[in-house]
Amino acid sequence: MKRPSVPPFVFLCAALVTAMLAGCATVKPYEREYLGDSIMSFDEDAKEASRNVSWIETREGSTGGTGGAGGGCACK
Amino acid sequence: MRLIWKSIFGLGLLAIGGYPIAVISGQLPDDEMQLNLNTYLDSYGVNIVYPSLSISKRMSESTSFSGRYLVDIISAASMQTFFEVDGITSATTRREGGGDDTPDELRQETGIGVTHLIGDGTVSLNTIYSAEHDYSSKTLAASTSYPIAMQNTTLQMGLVKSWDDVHPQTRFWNRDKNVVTYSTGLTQVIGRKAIAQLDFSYTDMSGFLSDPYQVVSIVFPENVDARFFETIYPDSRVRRAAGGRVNLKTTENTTLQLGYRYYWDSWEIISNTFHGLIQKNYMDDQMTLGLGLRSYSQGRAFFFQPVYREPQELMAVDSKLDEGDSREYKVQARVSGTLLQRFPFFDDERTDLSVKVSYYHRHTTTADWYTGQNDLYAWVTSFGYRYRF
Repeated sequence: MKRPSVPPFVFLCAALVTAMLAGCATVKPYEREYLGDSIMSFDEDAKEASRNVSWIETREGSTGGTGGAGGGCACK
Repeated sequence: MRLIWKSIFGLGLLAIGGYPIAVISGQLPDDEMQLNLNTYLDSYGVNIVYPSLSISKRMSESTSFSGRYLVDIISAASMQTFFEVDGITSATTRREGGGDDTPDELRQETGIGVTHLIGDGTVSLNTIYSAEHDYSSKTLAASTSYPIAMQNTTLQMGLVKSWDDVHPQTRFWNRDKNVVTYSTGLTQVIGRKAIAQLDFSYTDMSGFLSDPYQVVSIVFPENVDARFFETIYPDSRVRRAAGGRVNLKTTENTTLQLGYRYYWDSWEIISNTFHGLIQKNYMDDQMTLGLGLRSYSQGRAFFFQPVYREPQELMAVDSKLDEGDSREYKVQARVSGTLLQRFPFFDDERTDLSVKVSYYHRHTTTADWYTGQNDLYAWVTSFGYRYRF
C-alpha cells in the first residue's frame, strides 16, 4: 500500500511555532486573572469533542489533532 | 450494527482527548456530576440519542476517581434492505426495527478512571468497555501532563490502546481490530490574555477495518441486474494529525478561539480543518453565550471509486472516504443555577445548565451509495446539567 510522505512543512511550522511560544514572556501567577476564566480553558472543548467524536467520524474521514490531551490553563 | 459508529470509539478517546485524558495539569478534576442528553438527527433519516452520565470525586488530596456511563440509541428510517442491515447507519435490522420509531441499536459504554497528582504533574489511567450485540471494545488509556517554566508551559503525552471484537450479525466469523494512538501536546501561555495549544497524534490501526454491512453494486455489461460485493478495505491504516489553536481574551468578557488541524493518513486521505469560536460572559459570568464555525475539507482514499465496473482488490462505497467538504455552525449557552431562581431544583450556585445546537452540512463529490444524495444535513443538540459537590 502506498503511504503518503509526511509534508515537511507541517513539522517545520510546528517547530517554528513551538520555538516562538517557548520564547514568550513569562506570565506570573498574579497576572493570570484572565487566563483563569472558564471560557479561556481548552478543557471543556475536549469534553465536548469526546461526546461528538462518534457522529463526526461517521461522516468524515479524519481524526485526532484537536487537542485536549492533558490541557492545562497554567492558572493554578 | 453501527460498525463505524462505534469502531472509532477508542480513537476518539485519545485523539480527541476527551473524557479519559482531559486533565488540567497540576489539578485534579472537580468533584462533580454531569448529565448530558445529546441527539443527532440528519437528512438521511438517522436519529441517534446518546445520553451520558459522568461523575468525578476526589478521594484524597492527590487522587481522584471518575466514572462514566453512556448509552447510544439509534433509529433509522431506511431499514430492511435485502442485506438485512440499514444501509445508512449499518445498523442491523431487528424484529422490532424498521421504518418506525423503535430503536434499532443499543450500545452501552462504561468507563472508570483515576487521576493522581505527582508533584506539579498529573497522571491519569482509564479503562473503558463498550458492548453491543455484534461489536465489543476494550480500551486502556493513559496520559500525563507536566507544567514547566513557572507553569507557563504544559507538556502532555497520551497513549490509548483498544482491542475490538467484530462479530457481524450477518456473518459467521469474528474478527479483531486493534488500535493504538500516541499523542503529544504543548499548552503555552503567551501573554496575560492569550494561551495556545499544539497537538500531534499518531494512530496505528490493524485488523478488520471494513464495514461488513455496506455493499458495492456492479452492473456487468452482459447482465441487466447488478451484482453485489462486500466492501474490502486495507487491513492497516496509519493516521496522523497535527493541530494548533489559540484562545484570545479580546475584551474583559469575550474570548476568541481560532484553530487549525492538518490530517494525513496511509489511505491518502488529507484534510484541513479550521474552526473559530466566540464566547462572551454576561451577568458577572453567570451566563455565557457562544457562536462557533467549523470548516472541513478532505481528499479521497486511494481505493475509493465513484463507480466500480468490475471487482477490485480493494473497494469502498462509504462517503466519508470520498472527497468532500463540510461546515458546522454552532450556538451554545451556559447558565449558572444562581440565575434560575424560579426553578427550585436548579437554583444552586453549584449547578450549571448548558445547551448547544449545531447545524451540519456535508457535501461529497460522489453521491452517497445508499441514498443517492451528495448533500447531508444534520442537527446536533446537547443539553447538559452539571452539579459540583
